Amino acid sequence: MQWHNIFFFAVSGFILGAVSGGLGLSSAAALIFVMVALGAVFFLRMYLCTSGTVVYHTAISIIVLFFLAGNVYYSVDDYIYYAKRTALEGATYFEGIVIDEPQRRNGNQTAKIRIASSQNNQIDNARALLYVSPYPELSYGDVVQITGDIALPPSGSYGDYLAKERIHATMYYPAIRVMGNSANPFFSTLYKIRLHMNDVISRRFTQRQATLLSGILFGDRGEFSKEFLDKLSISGTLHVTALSGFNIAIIVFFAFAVFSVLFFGKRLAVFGATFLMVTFFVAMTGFTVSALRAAMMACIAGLADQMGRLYNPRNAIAFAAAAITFANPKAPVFDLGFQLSFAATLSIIYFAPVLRRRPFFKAASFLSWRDALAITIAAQLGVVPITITSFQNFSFSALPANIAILAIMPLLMVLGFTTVAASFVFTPLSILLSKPTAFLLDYSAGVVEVFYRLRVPFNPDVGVVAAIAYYALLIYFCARHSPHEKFFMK
Amino acid sequence: MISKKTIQFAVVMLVGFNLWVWYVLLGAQNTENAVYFLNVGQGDSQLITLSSGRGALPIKILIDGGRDKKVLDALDSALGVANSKYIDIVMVSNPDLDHFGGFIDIARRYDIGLFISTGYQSQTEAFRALQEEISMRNIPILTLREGDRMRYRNTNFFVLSPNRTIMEHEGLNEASMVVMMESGKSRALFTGDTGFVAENILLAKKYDLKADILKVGHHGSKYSSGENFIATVQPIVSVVGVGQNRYGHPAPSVLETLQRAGSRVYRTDRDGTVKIILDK
Repeated sequence: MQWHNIFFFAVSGFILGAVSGGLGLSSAAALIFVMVALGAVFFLRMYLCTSGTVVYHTAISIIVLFFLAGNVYYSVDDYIYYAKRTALEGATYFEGIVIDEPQRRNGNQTAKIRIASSQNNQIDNARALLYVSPYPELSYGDVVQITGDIALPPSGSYGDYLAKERIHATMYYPAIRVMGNSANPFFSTLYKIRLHMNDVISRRFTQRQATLLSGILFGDRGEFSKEFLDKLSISGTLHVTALSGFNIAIIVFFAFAVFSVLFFGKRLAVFGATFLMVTFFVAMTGFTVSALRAAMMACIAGLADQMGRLYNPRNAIAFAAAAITFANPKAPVFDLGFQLSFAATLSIIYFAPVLRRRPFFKAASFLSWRDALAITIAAQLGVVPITITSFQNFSFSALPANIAILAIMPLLMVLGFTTVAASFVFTPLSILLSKPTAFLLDYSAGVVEVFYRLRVPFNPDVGVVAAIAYYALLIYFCARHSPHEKFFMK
Repeated sequence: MISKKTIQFAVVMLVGFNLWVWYVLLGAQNTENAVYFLNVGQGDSQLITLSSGRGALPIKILIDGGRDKKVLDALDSALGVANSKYIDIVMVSNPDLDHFGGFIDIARRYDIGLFISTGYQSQTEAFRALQEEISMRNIPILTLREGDRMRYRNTNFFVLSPNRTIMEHEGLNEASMVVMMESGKSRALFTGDTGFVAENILLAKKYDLKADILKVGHHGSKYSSGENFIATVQPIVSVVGVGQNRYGHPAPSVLETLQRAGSRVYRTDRDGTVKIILDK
């Protein structure tokens, strides 16, 4: 068996193992399952082996062994999480440090604190989410003393979300005293740059334009009104305001184009500078899981574009998923963004080419709208069971809405970033650039409004079995009609 | 070689941008003298736009800024394409969070020509944050009290309250800035959070309190809008700036008093932002 196949089966097993842990399969049960599976493989190898089936037996063995590793890894991570959580129970006094820029919303601010100590014991690296009054405003790196009642994450989806975010406790409006600031200078500088960028955006644009642009450029939805969030969600365009692979891919392509000119096309320098820029951008978001995931997906797309084709997209995606799972084993089950991102990417890579083979999508069209439609359909069909189950917000109007918005998104992002960048150099240029940016933002908001009004909802009850059957059918369809059938099956 | 798709895209973008520019330019000129009672939740915020002649953007005066960032969306909706991110004058009637909280975010996002208050200082963290923003951005400050007056073209603003005595002896609410605006034939009375005490002082001073539009005092609290006061003001339209609250605002007794006086009552929690065009 070739190394790339061994790698693929190993990471697939590892991810499946972590998923099984997230779904409640204990390590003991996983061990029994693995032993039975290996026994079955051994039996088949001994008595029913033909030369053609050896490779399948090896593949199954690799998958089940790494399945066990993934499950155990999840269990250890979960044990550590609950141990820290339990240690916080009953404590009413903490000292800690604010670990990223607090989110400022209407009526409150939320801050993530890394707890250094409580009155009971030293707690290593536990985290609390604080809801506090909007003033005084907390900043990244503030050293704080907190007194108040602690609330442990509840069971249910909110508790799962907090666990995925590695939050061990929440506190609502505790007494808080800022003792000083011991921010990491590197992150402090990055956050200051980010704050300056947000400041430029909020001063150049109206509130509606500014919130939309902050969402598109930084995935920041803190100031979205509930009404606008609903409109984005129902029109199927909410993803453009998330830090998605698509958004970061545009940054990668733009950076690549700029650095290609600056470095006279010297490939290594261009790649290095682009990589550094994306790293800085992800660091500016605080290395959040969503930003890391998006950056990885963007790099996959970037590599694919630069190399003409990606030699093995299957392994690149598996690598990205495994890296995220390794960093946070709760991500595959409890991070909806993870699921949506990978489902959409897989569908775009495997299903869009199938659609493009149809005569309707092959025909020439104004602004290549047929091609955009193929990609949009692929992405939407790839995620539809997840969005229907999680949000009950699927609407057929999402298809034209996405074509209309995604067509201008690269230009909008480039203009948005250059408006912000120009403010560091020459303010009048920034003001000038803000005008076409404002036009595209108004256009995007108009598209959202129109397709929110023209919504055609379709949200049937989708059970687990139906979802699995749906994806099985989609995979079969891709395998059957893929233009690279051999490659897909390999 | 530029691809056909790029050319098509560029043409569509340029045509769209051209239309958008004309839409913004023409829309910004189409302004009238008006008062907006902005829907900012539980709090007060009134925007006054005064036409400044053909082709120019209107003068914008914002009395109070609500509690938080909601005022930013409300301003967007009210001003539309005329939102130049500049407000000529902001006035704080009362240094309570539900009147000035939104000004902190406005100061961070808008250029402001002048900041007006009664000079009453609050010791809260939020008020300190507002003072820091004003100082950092070098926004000029003006203190206005009873007897002061501002004029722009045919619009006059008379400050009826507070005076030094009220500020020293009464609470924060009674020391709210009370302003009568006269624009052509229209009169509007802005009362901040005043209650019976300030109302009775205004009545005793025999000011001409008759107004077409009344900003109902203290979000319709049962301790404001006394019968004598309302009977003197005789508002044609009364507007209550109110959102979800635990104080029982607006009080049924206040709504009854206003209705008995023949006033048409609007509430921002039910009617959203209320726009009243002046001189009509």
